[in-house]
Amino acid sequence: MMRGWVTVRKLYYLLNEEFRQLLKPLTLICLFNTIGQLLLIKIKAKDFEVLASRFEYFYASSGCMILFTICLLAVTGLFVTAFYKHYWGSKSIYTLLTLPADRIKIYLVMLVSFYLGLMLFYLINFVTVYLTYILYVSELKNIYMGEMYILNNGLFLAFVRSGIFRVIFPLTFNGRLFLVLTFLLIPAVILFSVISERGLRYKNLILSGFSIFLTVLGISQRIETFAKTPVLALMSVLFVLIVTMSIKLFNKNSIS
Amino acid sequence: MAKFMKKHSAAIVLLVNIILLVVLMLWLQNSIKAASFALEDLFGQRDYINGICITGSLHDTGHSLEFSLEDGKISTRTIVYDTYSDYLDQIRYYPYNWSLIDNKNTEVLASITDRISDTAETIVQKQEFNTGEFSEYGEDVILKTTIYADEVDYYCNISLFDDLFKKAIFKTGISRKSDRKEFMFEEERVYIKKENEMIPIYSSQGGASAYNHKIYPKVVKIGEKYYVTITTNEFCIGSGGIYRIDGFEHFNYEKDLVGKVTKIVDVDLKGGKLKVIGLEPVSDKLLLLLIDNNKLVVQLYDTDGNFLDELKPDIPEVRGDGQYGNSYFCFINGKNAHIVINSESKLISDNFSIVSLSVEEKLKLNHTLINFRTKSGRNQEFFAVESVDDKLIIINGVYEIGINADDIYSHAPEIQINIFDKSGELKYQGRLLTDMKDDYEILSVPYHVKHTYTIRHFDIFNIKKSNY
Repeated sequence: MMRGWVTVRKLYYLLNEEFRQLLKPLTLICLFNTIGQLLLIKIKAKDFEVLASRFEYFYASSGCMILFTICLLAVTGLFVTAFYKHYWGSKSIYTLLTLPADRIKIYLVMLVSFYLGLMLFYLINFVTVYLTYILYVSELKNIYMGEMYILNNGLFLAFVRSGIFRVIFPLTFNGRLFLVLTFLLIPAVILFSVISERGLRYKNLILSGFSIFLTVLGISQRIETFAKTPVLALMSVLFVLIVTMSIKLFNKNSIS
Repeated sequence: MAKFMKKHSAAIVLLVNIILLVVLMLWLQNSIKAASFALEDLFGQRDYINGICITGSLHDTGHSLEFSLEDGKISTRTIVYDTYSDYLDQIRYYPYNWSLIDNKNTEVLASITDRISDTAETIVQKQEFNTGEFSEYGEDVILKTTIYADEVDYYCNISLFDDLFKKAIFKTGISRKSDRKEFMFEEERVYIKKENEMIPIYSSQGGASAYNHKIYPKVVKIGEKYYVTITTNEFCIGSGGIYRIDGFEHFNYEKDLVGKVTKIVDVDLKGGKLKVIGLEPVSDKLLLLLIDNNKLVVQLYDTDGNFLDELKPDIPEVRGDGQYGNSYFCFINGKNAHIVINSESKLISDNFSIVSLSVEEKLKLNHTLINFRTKSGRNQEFFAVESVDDKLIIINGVYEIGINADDIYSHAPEIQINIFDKSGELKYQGRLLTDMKDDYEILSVPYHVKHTYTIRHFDIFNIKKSNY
């Protein structure tokens, strides 16, 4: 019992240490995403013709989605850097690998910290979309007869009607399942790729590439039409396979 | 504080994530409930709606607000679907779904073509053009033959949608005769001109289209058989009626007639005085709709073409021009058929007559409503007509006079529920208050943006007796 508690505390400490190095740059990315999107909306609102269109069209044409994609790529880049950081300077990876704990736990700590970071970015982006909608509505209220362009329950309708918003927040069971699997898969693939690279298992990158291809294809094909059972099943299998292989690589001393 | 944050950063972020997730879910729940859907009484007492259950939906390509109006009380639920086809699959079997569709199935394609009658007088004109295009074999020459005829016969061409070469092509017996040789047929043959001979390359036969003759096929299906009638106009002579498609056949260019078709009902068009305006399947019977001297005649036949009954409702002259074969709408639910007849010859008509029938071995007239108009606007469309006990329920779309012209044909922004008693007196009128109007009020958005907008539409699923 006591031993278990000690292990949990160690893990908790490790997780906080691992996550701490992500937090600052992640906060900066989230802030950049939020402020950037609000600025883009404000700038685009000067064009009456676009402002008078529906929110989903306005949002898409303002470039917010591009900014979101760039920031998402920055977050994944942050995960990669966070892993390689252990090899740079203090070379803390060697300390980590010699800790009296299962290597699997070190892997899980890294993965969980990535999940926490990705989720924070995603949820703050949702708040950002909400803020952009409020800004859009207030801009419309400022113009003559602008209120007639405001739909009752407009943000919900935008989420329902727009393919772009359905990517950010799917409203059907299939769509949500796809999103959850994408959430699970992206950090796992990133970690798997860098572990494979460190372990000189370059062939593994094909599996990573395929997983990313499947995810991108799903998003580009509008996830709810794409996310049918075989695709979801394939993604689940890929996730389990990637995590298992990552743990194996971590345990085998095959990373250096 | 900073030390605490440092020590527990993961836990704090986890907590923030959970809070944001809960907020997101609450927002979603509230948004689903935020859609407006209410019934406003315009005339009469709400009690009159007791005993009736109306179900339907307000939907766009992404979601559907399904409602049930039972004994005057509204309940709603929102469904978000993966694709629009999910919704279309759902409504496929609802009774009123097919009422507004001209040919009441999607399994066949039907069209009318015209050919020169055997008895027609004709003028033939032949012209030869040198194209100026040379190949190694010689110059391409076009030989154009134009035939002007004073009489055409109409043929009906039915193809199976799954296999467009599986066809039934038959002569309808309907023709059109003119004082002048106004029906033009063109044929072009392309040859290679050599010194002593013309080598044919290809030919194209034109003019075999009756698109401007305002004559349309109407196909219905009972059991596994298709039944067809041809809607006619005042210029049509000969005889129309009901045709049964007994078999389709692979298309053969050399054959004039394809497939096996039996004319089960023969209707003499009396030189154009009698017009066929439609055919409707009601349970296992066929309703043939005719206009005889501008008066509606409804005839009932069984599927072998045996005459069972006839009704001549006392409604004003039928004036709708039936430009696309739609001079009426027929709402069918089980053994009930409700025919909405256009009584005005205007482009946007506002005056309708409604005939409500029950079909057994004989026809039973339940309601006749003359001069159905709306008080607060203009009629745009009918969503459903149904009779429950002695009540006639009409659900129609209305637009206000003066609405932007662009929006008139796209949709009626306001939906009314009208209930009449047996004598044709209006007992209740209500208006459904929805957010649908929002979708049509964005007027100054450029058309190229606007036409891509998803807009909400209204569907009635069913109207039936409630358990009241």
